[in-house]
Amino acid sequence: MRLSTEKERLRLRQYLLGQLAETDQTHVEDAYFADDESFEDIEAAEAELTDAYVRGQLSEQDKLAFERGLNGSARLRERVAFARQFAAKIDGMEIPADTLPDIKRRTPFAWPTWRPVLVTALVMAGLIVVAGVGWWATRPGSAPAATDAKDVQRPAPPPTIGTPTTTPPPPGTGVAIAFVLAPGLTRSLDQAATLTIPPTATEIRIRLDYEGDAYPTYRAVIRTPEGRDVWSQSELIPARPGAKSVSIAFPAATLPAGDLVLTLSAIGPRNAMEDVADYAFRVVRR
Amino acid sequence: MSARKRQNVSRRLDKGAPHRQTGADLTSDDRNVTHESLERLLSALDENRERAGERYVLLRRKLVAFFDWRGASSPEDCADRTFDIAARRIGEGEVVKNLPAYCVGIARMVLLEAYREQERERSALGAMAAIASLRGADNDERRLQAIDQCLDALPAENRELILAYYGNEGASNISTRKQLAARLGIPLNALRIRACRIRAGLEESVRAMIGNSAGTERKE
Repeated sequence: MRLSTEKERLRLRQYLLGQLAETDQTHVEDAYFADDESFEDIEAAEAELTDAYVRGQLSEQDKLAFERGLNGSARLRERVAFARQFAAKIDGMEIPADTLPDIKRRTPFAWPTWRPVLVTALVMAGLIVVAGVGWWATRPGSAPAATDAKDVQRPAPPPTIGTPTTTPPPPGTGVAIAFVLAPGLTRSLDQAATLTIPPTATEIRIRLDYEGDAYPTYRAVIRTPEGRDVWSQSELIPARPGAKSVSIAFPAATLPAGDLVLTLSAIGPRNAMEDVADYAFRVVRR
Repeated sequence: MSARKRQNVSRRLDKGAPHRQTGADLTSDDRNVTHESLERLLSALDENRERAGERYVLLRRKLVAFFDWRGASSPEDCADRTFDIAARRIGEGEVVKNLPAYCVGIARMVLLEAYREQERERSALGAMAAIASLRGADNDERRLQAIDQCLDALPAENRELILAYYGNEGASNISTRKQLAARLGIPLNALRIRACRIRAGLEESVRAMIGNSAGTERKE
């Protein structure tokens, strides 16, 4: 039985960190001894946990729990050593977008040629579904929906503050737009950075740089100047421990045109939410 | 189960020799399990010897992982002890219909025993951990070279998949992973398992390469 829900993956993570009660531990163990797929799930969970640890993506509590296990396990120390060097190696590599189609072409897929009637039925069913989705997407009053990019163009690293980077996409494909915002912009919206979003954009990625103390996790909220919430996300973790930047991403359709303010906050020493930095920017849609 | 491990299991059974010795035909995984114990366990796992060998290797891996995750200081020794106890009881006439479930029960008792032992050896364990971490530092350069070589040796499709899956800040880049799954036409969880299998194979290759190069240096 494959454990695939977020809740079940969290449970495996808690097991690996020694955070489950004894009876729950027993249930997890009985499952992976009885079922080989469950064991594969938990091995995958351990690889992901190790990866998150070396990238500084664990909460303080989870990091301490992980390190307790590390102290007693030569096997886990070896995994961490591998994960650290593996992450360092691949993070520095450029992965050309055109390699991804090669993976898809080599994925084996064979039409069931021995059942022509079934094939015909499947094709007809597929056409009906496609037509239905097309009608639904174009019905009067429907808002433009963000679709998964068929081919994500990897933008070049953002060179300057507030300047978007993008590569012109081939016709018919989506694109992710990346920006960098730096703190210290005043609340005067006349001085705000401009985020120009082309119609082909399907995703916005923003790196938020800031100064001052570093925190383990952050919350980002985007509001209109009138105070209406546009988007928010909690539990943002810096890419590396102590790094003074966090990255956010969301569908391009999320941001309305016009002036917006992003507030980055974190739980401070007094256990209360404190503002870390504000960023004012203007969204222009071409 | 790799061909090498399958060969080793068969060779040990055919030779009928006890295992408690080093030798080219023994893997470090099975050095402490006696021949007789292994025979009994394999018989309890499957009538077909080849399949039984595969199931034995997987069951041993699960036991080692269990003891490691539960904090036993010598997971491999605990797994072997579990197998020895199970084999002895089967030899004494106990009928076992589900060996994995039977081994879990024994493993939990072995774990309690291991905890008591670790309490007594706590200071010695600290010294061993410090030595192990120093050894890890020496291995860094070798590991880096091994990662390079093993990545290059992967089939291009597998290499591209794990670079795309684990690159770009890893798990925090969920949108890239979702896009990758969509492009491959598989659910995200299937992609996750596929990537983890490739990564596990890569880790094993790197570990084997480091172990081999360390062995070569010791001989020199």
